[in-house]
Amino acid sequence: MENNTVLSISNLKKNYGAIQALKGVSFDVPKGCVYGILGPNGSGKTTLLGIVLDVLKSNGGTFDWIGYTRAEDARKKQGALLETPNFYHYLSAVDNLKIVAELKQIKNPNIDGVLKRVSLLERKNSKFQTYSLGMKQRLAIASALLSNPEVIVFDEPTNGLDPEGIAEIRNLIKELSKEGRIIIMASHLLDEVEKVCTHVAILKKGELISEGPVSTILKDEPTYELKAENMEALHTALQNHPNISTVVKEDQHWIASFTEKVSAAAINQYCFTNNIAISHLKENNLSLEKTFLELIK
Amino acid sequence: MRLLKIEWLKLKKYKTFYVLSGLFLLLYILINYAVSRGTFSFEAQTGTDMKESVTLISEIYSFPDVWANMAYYLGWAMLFVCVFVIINISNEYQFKTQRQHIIDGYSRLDFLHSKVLLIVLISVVLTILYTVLSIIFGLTHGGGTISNGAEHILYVFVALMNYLSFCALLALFIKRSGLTIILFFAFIIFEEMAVTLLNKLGDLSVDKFFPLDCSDSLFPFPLGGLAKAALQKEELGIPDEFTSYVIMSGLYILLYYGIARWRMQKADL
Repeated sequence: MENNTVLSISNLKKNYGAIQALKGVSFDVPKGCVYGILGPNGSGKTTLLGIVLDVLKSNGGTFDWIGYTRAEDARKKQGALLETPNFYHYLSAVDNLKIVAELKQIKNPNIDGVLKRVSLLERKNSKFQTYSLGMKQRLAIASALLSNPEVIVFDEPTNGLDPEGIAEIRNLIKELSKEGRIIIMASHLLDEVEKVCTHVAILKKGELISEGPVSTILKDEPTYELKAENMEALHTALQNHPNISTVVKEDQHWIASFTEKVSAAAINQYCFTNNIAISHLKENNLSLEKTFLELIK
Repeated sequence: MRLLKIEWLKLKKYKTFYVLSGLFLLLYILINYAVSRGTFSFEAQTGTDMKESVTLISEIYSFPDVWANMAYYLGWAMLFVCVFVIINISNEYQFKTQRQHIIDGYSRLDFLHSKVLLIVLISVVLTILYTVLSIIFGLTHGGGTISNGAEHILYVFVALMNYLSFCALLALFIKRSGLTIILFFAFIIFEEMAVTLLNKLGDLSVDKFFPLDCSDSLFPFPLGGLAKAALQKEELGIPDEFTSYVIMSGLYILLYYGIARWRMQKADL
C-alpha cells in the first residue's frame, strides 16, 4: 500500500434488508488532507463511516487503516464523531471524558484543554443532560480531540449548531488541519465541504459519483444577479456578451452565467458601454451548487 | 482490570446503582433479621404452635440449614440485582455509548467482556455477602459446624451467574430497559407454569432443563432437614442432587456467552 495513504476503502457494500445503502464504493484518503464525503441525505455517508469505524458490518469489500494491524488500535488513536453525541446523561463533561480517556488508554489526558478548545470549560462540571444540542455536539468534538489524534473522523460536525457555532467549528477544523491532522468529514452541505475540504468524494444513493481534489471536482464559476431600469435592454445586452452562457429570470433579476471568468467590474463596464445603467449587481457562487446538483442528478 | 475500571467510572456517580444496591441490601438483611426473630411465624403453613415455630426458626438458622435458608432469600432479593443488570446494559444502548465505545477504540469483544466481568464481579460480591451473612446469622441464631453445608456457596455463585447472564443477554437483544424487565418477569412466570404443568404429567424432573428453573433449585426452599422429615421431599421440590443443577446452570451460562459473542461480532450497533 502506498505510504501516503491513511485509509483505503475497496468495494464496500452494505445492505439494509432489500435496500442497498452502499453499492461497492472504493477510494483512498491521502495524508495531509481534509477529506469531504459529500452527498444528500440517505446517500450512504454515515453508513460508510459507520463501517470504517466498525459499528456497522459491511456485506462485502474491505477497508484498511494503513499502519495498523488491528482496527481497534487505529480507533484508539483517532478521534471520531458519528451521527449523535453519545455520552452518559447523568455524568458531567469531565466525568464523561475521563471514561473516554481510560478507554483510549491516554496517559495524561488534557481534559480542560480540549474543553477550552470547544468553549465548554465553564460548564465542565454540568451534567451532560443539561447541555443544549450545540453544547453536546461540541463536547463530542472535544472528546474526539482528547487523544491528540493524527486522524479525525467527523460526521456532520456542524449539525444542530447555530450560525456562530457553525463558524466556530469550521474554523476549528481549519486549525486542526493546519496542525497537520488528517480530517475525514461527511457533510450534506456543499458550502461546508467547499470551505473546509481539500479533497472530496461525492456519493449518491450508495454509489461513488466523483472523487478527487476539490478544485478539480467542484469548478468555481460565479454567476451574477443583475437589475436595471430597462430590464429588456439589459437582457439583450447580456445575450450579446461574447462569453455569455445562460441568462435566466429569477424574481426581479436576471441571472447570468459565463463560459469563462468575467469580473463584476468588466460586466459593469460592458453594460455601461451599451448605455445601460445597472441598479443591482451581485456575484453568486451558485454554479458550485449547480455542479453538485448536476453531479448527483 | 481496565474494563472493570471503566465500568466503575460509569457507576460511581449513578444514583440508580446506589438505590438498587441499597434496596437489595436492606431487603436481604431485613427479611433474614425478621424471620430469625420470629416475626413471621410458620404457624399458618405448618400448623405448629408458637413454641414449635421458635424451634423451627433456630433450626433453619443453624448450620447446615442456614446456608440453604439464606440462599433462598437471596433468590428473591437478587431480583433487584437482575433489574440493575438489565438497566446497566440497556443504558448503553439508550445512550448509544456502546456504539461510542467501539468508535473510541473498544473491540466488540472488549465491550462484551466488560459486561461479563461486571457480572462475574457482582456475583462474587454477592456470594461473599451471602457467605458472611450466613455465618453471622448462623453463629448468632443457631449453631453447628460452619463448614457443614458450605457447598451452597458454590451453588449460590452459579445460580447468580446464571440469572444475571440471562438478564444481560435479554437486554443485549431487546435494548430497552422497561420492556426487558417486563419480559424477564413474564419469562419467570411462564417458565414456572411450564415446569409445573410438565411435572403434573409425571415425575419428569424437567425443571433442570429450563434456563432459570435449573438455578431456582440452587436457591432451595428453606426448611431443609426439618421439612425432609415432615413432608415428602418431592412436594417441596428439594433436589436430592445439586450437582446436576449446577452443571445445567453452567451449560446455560456458556450458551448465553456463546450467543452474546456471536451477536456482538455480527450485529450492526
